[in-house]
Amino acid sequence: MSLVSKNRNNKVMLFIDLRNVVKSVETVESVYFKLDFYTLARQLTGQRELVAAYVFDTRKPYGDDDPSKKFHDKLRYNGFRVIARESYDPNRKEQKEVDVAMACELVVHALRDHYDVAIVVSGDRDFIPAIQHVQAAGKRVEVAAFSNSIGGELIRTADEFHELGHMPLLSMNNLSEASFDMPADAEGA
Amino acid sequence: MAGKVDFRDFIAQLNNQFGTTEGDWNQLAKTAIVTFEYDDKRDNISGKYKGVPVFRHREYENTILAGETWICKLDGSHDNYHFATPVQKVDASFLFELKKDQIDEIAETVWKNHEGAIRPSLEERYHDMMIENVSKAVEDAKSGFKAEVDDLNAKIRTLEQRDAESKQIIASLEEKAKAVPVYPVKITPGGMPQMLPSVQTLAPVSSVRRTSPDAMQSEFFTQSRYFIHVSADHRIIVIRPHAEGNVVCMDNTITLEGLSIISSFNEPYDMVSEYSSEYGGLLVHLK
Repeated sequence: MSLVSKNRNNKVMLFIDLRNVVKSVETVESVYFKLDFYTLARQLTGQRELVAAYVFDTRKPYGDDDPSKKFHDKLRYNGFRVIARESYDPNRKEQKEVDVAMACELVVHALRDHYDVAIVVSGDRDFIPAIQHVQAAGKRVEVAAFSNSIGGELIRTADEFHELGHMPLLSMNNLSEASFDMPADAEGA
Repeated sequence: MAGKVDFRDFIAQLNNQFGTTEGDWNQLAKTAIVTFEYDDKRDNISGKYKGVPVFRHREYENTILAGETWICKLDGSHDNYHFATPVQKVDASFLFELKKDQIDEIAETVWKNHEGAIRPSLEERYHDMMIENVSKAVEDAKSGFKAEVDDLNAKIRTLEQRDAESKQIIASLEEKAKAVPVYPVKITPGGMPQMLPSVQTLAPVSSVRRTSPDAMQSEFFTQSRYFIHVSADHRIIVIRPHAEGNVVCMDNTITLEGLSIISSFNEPYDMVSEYSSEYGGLLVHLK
């Protein structure tokens, strides 16, 4: 429940920190349940107009065997705009540039008035300054994350918090092959 | 009481006040206002000044008509007649060129001296004029008010027409509303309910039965494929029929290998379920 009212005419833009979400859902995912990003986007948007859904991730340089490529292509097929930076550090097993890239997109689209509501799907509190700037620009910012990956400060900063753990987002199937595959060796968040 | 004033001193005082000279006063002495008329034979036009005939100066080139009054400069070289050179015709244009205070002063003087003679004529003349003007003003006002009343009547007619149309629309909508069936609490057999935007949720119904650890059965499972999503806290499942769904349904039964993981099973039971417009499908409560 939020103090700020929702408007069905609002334009919504989605910003998904892919590795943060994948990392936090690892404990509940299994061969039987896979996080469905398409359903995630639809349920977070609700009756409002979704103008764009960005997914931020890293990838290996061209020519290398990138385990994320298939999943990125699946997301692109579903309409997501995947921004994958060639900035994965295999030695430290961590992503670089992704948070800043997502924060830049968040702020730039707000200042260009491309959306009314930004939904940040991440529990990373590094986004708090960017979120505050977007709010100062007159935009509403909602944050969605699993409760095991988010702190109170980010929840308090957001205009509304969506607990992804309460939403039916894990896709079940009884077919022989899964409809989509997550990268087996998920890179560190 | 003012004392006697020497005429020469008075002239000198005026010269100082208005910047005139002795020559100007000499010119004024030779200036007269003359009204020209035909003589008895109607051959010539002449006027009179102090009983002395005044003729047009031969060097004056313009025409003087009978009945015109002119301010003239007189040639005073003859005792029995004068030759006049017209300077300014005294007519309406002459009066219009006067300043307002001059006109007021003239009118006041005329009125003061000849009120008795002017008043009856003015009253008669302006009585008719006033009546005419007032009548015209009343007619104008009447026509203006009539136009305004006509406009208001037209607006009233338009509003009445809109009111009638609105009433018809309301009546039509009420008829349609009466014709729309009320969605029952229990979901009717024969298929999964589809999106019902105006209905938030229906009351819980026991329409889905857990028949085995990994199987759910319902008379509503009539489609061949479904999308099924479970919440991460394993509290709810949403079942949506879809041609591209990744869950296959056979004999009104959906079998899911992971169902026993998220919800324990001891014996068959009816699962609490409801239709949810928020999720666009059947919402099954696991806990």
